[in-house]
Amino acid sequence: MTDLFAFGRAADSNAEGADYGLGGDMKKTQYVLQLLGFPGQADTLKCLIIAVEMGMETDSGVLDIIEGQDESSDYLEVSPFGMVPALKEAEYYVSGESGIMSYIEARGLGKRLAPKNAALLAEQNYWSDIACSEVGPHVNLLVQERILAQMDDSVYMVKSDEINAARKALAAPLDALNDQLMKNTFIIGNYSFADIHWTAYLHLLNEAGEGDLISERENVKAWFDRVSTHKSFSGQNIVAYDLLPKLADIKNKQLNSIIIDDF
Amino acid sequence: MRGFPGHIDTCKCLYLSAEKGVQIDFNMLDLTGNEQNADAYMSLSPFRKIPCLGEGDTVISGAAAILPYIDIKGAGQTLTPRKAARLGEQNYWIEVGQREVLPHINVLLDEHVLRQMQEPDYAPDQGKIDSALRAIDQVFDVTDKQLQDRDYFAIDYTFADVHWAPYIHFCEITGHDDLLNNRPNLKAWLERIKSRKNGTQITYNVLPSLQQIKSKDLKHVA
Repeated sequence: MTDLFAFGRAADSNAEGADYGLGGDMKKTQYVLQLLGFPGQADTLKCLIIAVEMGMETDSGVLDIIEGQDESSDYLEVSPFGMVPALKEAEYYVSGESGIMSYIEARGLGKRLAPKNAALLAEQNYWSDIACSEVGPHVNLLVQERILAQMDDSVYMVKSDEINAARKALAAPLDALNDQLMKNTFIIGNYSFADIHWTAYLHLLNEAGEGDLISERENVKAWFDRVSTHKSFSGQNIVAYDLLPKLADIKNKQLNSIIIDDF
Repeated sequence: MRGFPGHIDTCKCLYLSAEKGVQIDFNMLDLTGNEQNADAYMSLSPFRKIPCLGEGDTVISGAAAILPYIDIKGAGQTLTPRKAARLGEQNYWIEVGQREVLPHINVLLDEHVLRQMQEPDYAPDQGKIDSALRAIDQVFDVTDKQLQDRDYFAIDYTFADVHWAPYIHFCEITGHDDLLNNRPNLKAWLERIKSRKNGTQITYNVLPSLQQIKSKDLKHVA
């Protein structure tokens, strides 16, 4: 079996802190997360964003889903249902955006991101749910058609009908978001998980060349500008958006790691 | 709450309200009559998320939003684990349920129950049923291992158990309780779930029977 997590500082036995976690203790001041994902996949981007927002150093490795690495026996050992991305910290493994995001948020520095108020928590989850169910599938299709399919097959001809259908389907949720942001700085007022879900999808939409769907909606565009410059929620001088993969990174299958140097 | 007894996310909310002692008055949203597509419902839930909950001026829809709302409004401590590892596990198993189990349970419900409520002469598609059962079977193998040395999915009782209780319930009432055969840990987990009480009330009993689904009968939670 191949250890897919043999990358970054964890693979370097001479690196400072390489023996972290072997004693079983996981302290907030002593950590290195390892994230295995793909730069053109929204769920991977969500996990990168939350790691920055919560001030968690993360070594990133690429799982090449175009080559089917997510279906390999090595990966299924880590993630039995093939959910991407996967995270490792010391001896702890978890996969899928939901498990990883909540884990990183709870391990993170500073105050918790999830609202304590019942109505706000429900609102956060509602908008996260809308992003995942009404936006995610169409953004995934656009990314597949505009970027990934051509990486796999250089003479691939995009399916214009499917692209148009996806663009049309995105109108209603984007219009709803535009209305929601009429009076709010962030989606539910304060920055929350909902902003992270939408940031990942809209970033990929932008990289797939469909940025007009953002710019033609005034409030969405203003919000997108705000999240693109949003400094770490836990107070570090780092902007999550700067570390998200651009089109060239996706094509080159590159993911940034997160280095925190101001605690 | 507006929902439907043969709708799994409605049942998750129903079950959690019983667990947390939150009084819920139900109003039928007849999915077999496509009431979720009516303007009246879409004015409450623009993306047709089901169920929909109203309390005072607050209106929220979809289980993802309603469940934590009920959790906070209800009695006792929150079901959300404090420890990062447990929280990650809870949400992992919720996602596994939603991606790998829910679509197949919906096939079983459709083929065995809901389609016949719409078209009395409908003959269930055995091919679809067999395919769903094979998929569930594979997931339950992993689930059984997860529950090997623990009482609940994330050790303590959490939202993961709230999501999974209706999945197993619908396997049983559609006649597929044999999916639990040779899975002692999953079976033991179900027995624990079935014995949970809020006061004197067995909370699992709030989930609708096959007859209640067919007669479109949703219990109020008192």
